[in-house]
Amino acid sequence: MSSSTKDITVILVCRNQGRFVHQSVRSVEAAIARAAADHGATVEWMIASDTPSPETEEYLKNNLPGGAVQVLTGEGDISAARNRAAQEAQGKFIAFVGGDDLVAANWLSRAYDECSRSDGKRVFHPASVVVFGDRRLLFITPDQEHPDFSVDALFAGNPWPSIVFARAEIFRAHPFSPADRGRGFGHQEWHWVCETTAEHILHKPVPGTFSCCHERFGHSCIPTLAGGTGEPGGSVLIPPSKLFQPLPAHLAV
Amino acid sequence: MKRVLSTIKHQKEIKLIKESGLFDEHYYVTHYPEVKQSGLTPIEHYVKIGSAAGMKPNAYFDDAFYRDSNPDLKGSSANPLVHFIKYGAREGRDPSRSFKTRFYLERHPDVARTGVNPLWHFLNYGLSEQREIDNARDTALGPENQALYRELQDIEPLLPPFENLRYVPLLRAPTESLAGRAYFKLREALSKPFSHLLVLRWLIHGGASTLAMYHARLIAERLSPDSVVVLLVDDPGNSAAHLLPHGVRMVALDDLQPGLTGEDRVQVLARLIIEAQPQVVHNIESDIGWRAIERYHRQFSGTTALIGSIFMFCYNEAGIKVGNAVQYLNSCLDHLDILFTDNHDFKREACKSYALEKHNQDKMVVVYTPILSRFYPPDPDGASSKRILWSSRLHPDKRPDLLLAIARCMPDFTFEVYGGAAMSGPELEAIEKQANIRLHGPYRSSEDLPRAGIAAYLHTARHEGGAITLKEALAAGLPVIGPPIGLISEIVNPDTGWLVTRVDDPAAYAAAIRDCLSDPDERVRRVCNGQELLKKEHSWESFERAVGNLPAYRLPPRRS
Repeated sequence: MSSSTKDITVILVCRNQGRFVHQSVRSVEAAIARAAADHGATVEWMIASDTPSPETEEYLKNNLPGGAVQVLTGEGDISAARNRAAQEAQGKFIAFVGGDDLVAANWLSRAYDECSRSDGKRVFHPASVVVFGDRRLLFITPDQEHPDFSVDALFAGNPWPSIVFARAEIFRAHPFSPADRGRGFGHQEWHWVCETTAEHILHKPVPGTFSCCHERFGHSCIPTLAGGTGEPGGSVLIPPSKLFQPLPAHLAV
Repeated sequence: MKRVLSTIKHQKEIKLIKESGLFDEHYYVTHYPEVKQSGLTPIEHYVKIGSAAGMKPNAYFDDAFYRDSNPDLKGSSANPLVHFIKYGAREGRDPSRSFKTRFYLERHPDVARTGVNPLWHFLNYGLSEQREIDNARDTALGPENQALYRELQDIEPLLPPFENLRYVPLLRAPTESLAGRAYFKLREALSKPFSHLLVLRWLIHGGASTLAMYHARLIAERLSPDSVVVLLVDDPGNSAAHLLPHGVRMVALDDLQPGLTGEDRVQVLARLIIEAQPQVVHNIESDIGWRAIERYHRQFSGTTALIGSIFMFCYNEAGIKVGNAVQYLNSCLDHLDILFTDNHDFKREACKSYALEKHNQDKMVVVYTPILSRFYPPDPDGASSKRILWSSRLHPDKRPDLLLAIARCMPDFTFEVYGGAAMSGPELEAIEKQANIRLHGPYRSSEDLPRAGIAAYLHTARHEGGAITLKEALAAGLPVIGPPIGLISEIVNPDTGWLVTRVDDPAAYAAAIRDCLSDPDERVRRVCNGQELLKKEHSWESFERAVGNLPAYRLPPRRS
């Protein structure tokens, strides 16, 4: 594990988008500049990918942003790249951004501000998401501390986008689970939300922020929106989670 | 006097709330299942108990919020919803955090013009029309975000124009889930580990439930009662729960959480199996169970042996095969460790219909449901009786139409019919009107059925599995008459009873009954032979041996 020599590490998670990741890269660059301007924050910049496609490799070879670090894994599982990047990150805070996401220029700055003021038991997401491409809609993300929010909602889906900002130790203590596609387990981000919720870590929106997510090639930006279970009638489930396991006998009612 | 005044007040409130259309009974009973046990109607419960306890009359009215956010109501005994109906809506007060009354009327002037209660409008029309109820869109599209969005459009020109965002659908993730609520309640009810999960449609008197109880008993005896959980997932109904072995846990999803959809049930069951990882999941004729296995067998495999029970091909009135065997046998058999059935007839037909390979044929294990009821010697005087026993649910599958036709053929006989009515309309009325059919209603066990003075047991059905009622009648000392379907053709032959091969012909059944009674000695001989067969092949010991020794059922050897 790295010691914190930077304020923020941004990890852009590339899922073989090839050159289509370029718009995400540019939006992150703008957000990094804004965080530095607003807070004087020092930002480390990583692009994480697992078993990248030739197109993605070529894009990264020719267009790797200045100062960006590549984290490549070869395990056939994007969680491996995410977790490796989190381990190697030098930032006190980590911001994950997906390769289909565009972050508003104020995202890192606002999230950094909010997260710095909160305790270590909160993670942050944009307050709204503009979904474009296959569908067009405006998605409002919930606040786990809102009185109307019930944790049983996490049974039906993941109400937050993959863009997340939190203290680095949270990602290290709660790594993303490996995908076991052969056994029909997936939705690692949803699973991560369940695991962190089970550890009493709260998911919250950062007021006044938004992101945009490009839906294309059948990819759904927000699992909940695809249906009650991630995929309507689909056969992929999240792996076992502490959130859904029986209480230990000594705690059972 | 105080009580009388309170009652009058409640009655007035109930009337007003009912007329307002703001009480969502479905919401109330699904969110507060305890109402069912209160002896009150849902709206009475809300007025008398629920409101004060913070229970909500619909998803968008929050009594506690309304009281807290309106200081003028502090100390008042006024029901918040009644206040909102009479005054609050007109005064622009918000019924909950999520619904903004003034916003709704301002954003939707067509509603304001009608003068109707805005919350009523939203619940009845606005919700399905996706009308907005707060300023979430305005907040998201504030001036600062507009500027930031323009910057992003420079990067990604495919972004829709900012102005269009005022019209795209606004979506929110659900903040609650009935399925999730059901799952968490189930988790709490089953906090103690278990190794065997028996998944049933319901637990009412019938073949599948009887068999489930024997499996539960076997697991409880070989392991412990704690090791087995009986989960009723499809339908309400647990009238046969008293027959479960002592200490075996039984949970009905409908008791935990009303209002679940079929998909909710599949998800709850799948999650339970994935999280609890029982050694064995045994699905006994549950549609929900089959759907879960069909879709999620990959996730269940590795840790959990998947066992199924299907007993027959069912046929609809047009003679077309229907039911679980058609729906799931072919699609699920590859993923099962064992498929139990209780008659060779069905196994033969399934193997032929689906061209099953040898290894899949071997998975189909025929195990007879044991007959644990007491055996009685045949009553020789029964031959001179004119009373025929028929016991089953009055359901079209059991051919009550044929029973009626037989009764009409035999006006000198009385047909004693035991079993609840699962049909209605002219068909049932005709049976009720037939002078020589006496309806006795449901019964709890075969011991409740008459033996003395009964001439014979008559079995009619469109399709049949293990013919448990017929076996029980035989054990009770009655000669049995039935068609050669399912297990009946393995039990009934000219040495053990009267098989009616012209299965739709009432005259053939009448002839068999008269033949049965024509020779009292032969009648007794066939009953005794039939009972010998049951004792040999349909005993608890043979069931225990057949199931308990299957490695996939994961039971330890029998204790000495």
